[in-house]
Amino acid sequence: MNSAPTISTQGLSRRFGELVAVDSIDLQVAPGQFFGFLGPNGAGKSTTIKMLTGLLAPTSGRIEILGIDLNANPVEVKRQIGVVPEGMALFGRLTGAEFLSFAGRMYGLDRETSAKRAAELLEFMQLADQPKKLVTDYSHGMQKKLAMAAAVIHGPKVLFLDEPFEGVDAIAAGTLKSMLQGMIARGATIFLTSHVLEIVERLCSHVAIIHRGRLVAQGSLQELRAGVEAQTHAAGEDTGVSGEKLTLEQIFLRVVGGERRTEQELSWLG
Amino acid sequence: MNSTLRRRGQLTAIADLRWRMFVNGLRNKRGKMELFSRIVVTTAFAVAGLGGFILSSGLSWYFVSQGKAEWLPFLLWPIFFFWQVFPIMSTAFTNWP
Repeated sequence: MNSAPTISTQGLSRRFGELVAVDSIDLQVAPGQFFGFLGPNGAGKSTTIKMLTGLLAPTSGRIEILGIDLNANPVEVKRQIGVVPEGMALFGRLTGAEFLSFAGRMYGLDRETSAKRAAELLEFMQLADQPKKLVTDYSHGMQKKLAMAAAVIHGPKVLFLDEPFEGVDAIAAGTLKSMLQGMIARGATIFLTSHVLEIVERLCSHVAIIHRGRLVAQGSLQELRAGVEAQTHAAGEDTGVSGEKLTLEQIFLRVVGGERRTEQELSWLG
Repeated sequence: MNSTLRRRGQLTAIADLRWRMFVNGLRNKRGKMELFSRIVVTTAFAVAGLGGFILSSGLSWYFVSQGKAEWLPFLLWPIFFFWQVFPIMSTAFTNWP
C-alpha cells in the first residue's frame, strides 16, 4: 500500500504585506482521506486552499500533491486535481451541458468523451431537465452542483472544495454528499473547507483546524476528541457533556478558544 | 494524448466557447440589440474612416495637380488634431462607469 501523502505541505506561508495570512503550515493528507479543513472566518482557509490548488503563490514553503512539487510542475498537478472555489467563476452565457463539455475538453478529454460525461453528470446532478437553460439563470444551488460536476468531469484523484455546501438546499446537498462518498469509496482524496461542522463531522475522517494562520490541530476525529478531553481533564475542567462524546463543534470551540457570548444581552433586540 | 494535440484541443474548446457564448447571447432582446448596435457602430466607423481617406486623398491630388500645394495644411492640420484627440475621446466613451 502506498503510504506517501496525497497532499503534503512543509512550512507553507503566505504574507499580504504585514499580514501573515498563513503561517508555516505542515499538512499531511493520506490517500483516500476525506479531509476537513476548519477555521474561524479569516483564519486562512481559503488562502491555504488557493495555494494548494496553484491559484496563489506561497511566500515560502513547499507543496506536494500526489508526490509532485506544485511549484516545479503546476500544470501536471492541475491536470490531476479538481477544484470548486468559493466564487464559482462559471460562464453564465453557456448551458450546463456546454459548460461541462468545455471543462472536460480543457482537462484534455476529447469532444465525444467530454459530451458523454457531461450528459451523465447533468443527469446525476438532476440538472438535465432544462437543457436549454443558461447557467446565468441557474439558482445558487444549481450553480454549486454544476461547479462540482465541472471539477470531477476528468475523474480527478484529488478534489479541493471550498465551502461546497454554502447556500445549497438539503436535496442538492444530499446529491453532492452521495457523489463525494462514492469518490472516496473509489480511492479519491477530498480536501474540504466548510463552516457547517455537522457536515464535516458526518463526512470527514480527518480534520485540521487553522486559527490566525497557524495550524492548531490535526488528526482523526477520535484523536482530536481524545486530545481535547485529555487537556480538559489535565486542567481540571468539566467537558460539559458527561458520558457523551464531544461533538466536532465542541472540539472546534475549545481548540480555537471561542466562547459564545451568552452573558452579553442586546436589550433592543426583540 | 501528446501536449500538442492537447493544446490544439484546448484552443478549439476556447473557440467553441466564444462561439456558443455569442450565439446564446442572441437569445434575448438585449443581446440582439447589442449585436445590432455593434454592426451599426462598426459600419459607421468603417465608412467614416474610408470616406475620410478617399476624400483627403482626392483633395490632396486635386490641390497638387492645380499647383496649390500650399493648401495641403488645410487637410493635414485637421487630420493631426483628430489623431491627437480621438484616442482620448474613444477612451472616455468606452470607459463609461
